Amino acid sequence: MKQPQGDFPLDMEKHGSMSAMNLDDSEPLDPFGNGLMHSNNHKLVDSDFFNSFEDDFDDFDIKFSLRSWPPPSSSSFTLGLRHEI
Amino acid sequence: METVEAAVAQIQALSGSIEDVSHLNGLLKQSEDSLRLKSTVLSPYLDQLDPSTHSLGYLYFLEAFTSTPIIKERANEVVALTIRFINSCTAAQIHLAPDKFVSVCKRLKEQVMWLETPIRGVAALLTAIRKLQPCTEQLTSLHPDFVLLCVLSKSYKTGLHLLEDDIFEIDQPKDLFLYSYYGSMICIGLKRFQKALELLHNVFTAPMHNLNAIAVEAYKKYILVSLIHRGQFSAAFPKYTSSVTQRNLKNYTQLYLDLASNYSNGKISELETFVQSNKEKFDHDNNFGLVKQVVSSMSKRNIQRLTQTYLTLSLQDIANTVQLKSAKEAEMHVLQMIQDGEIYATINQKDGMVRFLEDHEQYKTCEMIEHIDSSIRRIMDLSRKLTAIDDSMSCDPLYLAKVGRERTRFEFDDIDTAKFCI
Repeated sequence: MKQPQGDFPLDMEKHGSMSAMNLDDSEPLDPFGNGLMHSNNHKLVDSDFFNSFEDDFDDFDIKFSLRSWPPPSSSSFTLGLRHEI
Repeated sequence: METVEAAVAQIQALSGSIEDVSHLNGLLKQSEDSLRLKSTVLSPYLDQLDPSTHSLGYLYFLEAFTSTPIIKERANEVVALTIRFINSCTAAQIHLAPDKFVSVCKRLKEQVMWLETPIRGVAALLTAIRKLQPCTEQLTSLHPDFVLLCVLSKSYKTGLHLLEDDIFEIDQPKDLFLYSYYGSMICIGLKRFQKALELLHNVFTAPMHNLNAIAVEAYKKYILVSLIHRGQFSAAFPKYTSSVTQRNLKNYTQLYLDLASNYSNGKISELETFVQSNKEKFDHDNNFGLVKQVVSSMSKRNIQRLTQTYLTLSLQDIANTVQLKSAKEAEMHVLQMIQDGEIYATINQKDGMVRFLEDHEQYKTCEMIEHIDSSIRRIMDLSRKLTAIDDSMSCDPLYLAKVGRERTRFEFDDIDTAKFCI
């Protein structure tokens, strides 16, 4: 049965999802391509990329200027509930 | 061109019109090897050339001059020379020898890193990218170098400016991996966690034949940023992730997956114990700072949950409930969360009480309307782009062969019918 051209993109989507991005499985591996094949399977490609940064993302030492306040006693607190229990 | 003097004369004579410069390019290509052999004596001849008017010739000389190792005492001079050239050169001329221009810029990056002054290369590399790019949608091989220097010099806002360009054209996958990975670090530094997640996601979901170390490191940071920003992490890969990534990535990132699993239990003391016992490994990955943010984020999540139950609560009770060390630490967290817009609250420092408020955003300010409008426009542009890409792919023979469909042949009397069915 001939299918109208208008349905063609929709069919592509339906069948496209069944054969998803299996580039690695269906295409032959290129040992001299962008990702070099190593005899040791555990070695990662581009393992020598520059990644020696200072660990700069520790912001735990942020200091706030706090006005002194008297700490409340452990037995006194006011509980305001949002919803009635 | 047998002598350097002859080459200089040719450059000075043939840098006028586009035709002359194209002809000059041909002559200089033939003299590449001899220029390289004379690299050590080229420096004085650069003074006879104008980097703006004689950009192409200057480029050939500079590339040959910097192709040999330079002693540290001269490195500052070479860096200054290169920066001056990048700022002055004419884009139309350097487009005739883009590979050489890229080589010169990459050497600038290496030299400023060697001199431990990465900030010196930041502005120049941004200028170089703008001169090299045919359009802002093109990722060049200088993009990752620029972003790297921004990270090293902590020029986060300058880096973010480039990261805001939408990229649709890529030549080398490795450029995308590095650009996105380094770019995510800029976003993390600026606490633009959502954008960081998008960039990291691009790395580990990109097509690849073999597992890439950059993807592994990106995935580690992705897990951490996901916990910080969303308070949760899903280990499921999108279906478009390559199968080699889906099969192997978790083998290299198990520690981080265990951290995420620990986080999901919601017990901060257990999380802290896990983090401390694996501190060395996180340090080795330079991720311990982010891991500490993960621990801190659990406290934030727990405080956020309190806002759904209580109208007011004392800082001491917040500290007790969320397992913080003291009321002062609770105050620090609450203040930071108020500042970041994560909760709406006021603190009465007289009695140490926190009052939780409702979100006052009504989404009707001019700023909000502009934000929504700009987002809609961006989505519409993206939609047009995707439609164009989809149309292009639908006609690509390789793509059609892969999905196993053949174009339907229409008989003559079906053509009109097909036209009206679209």
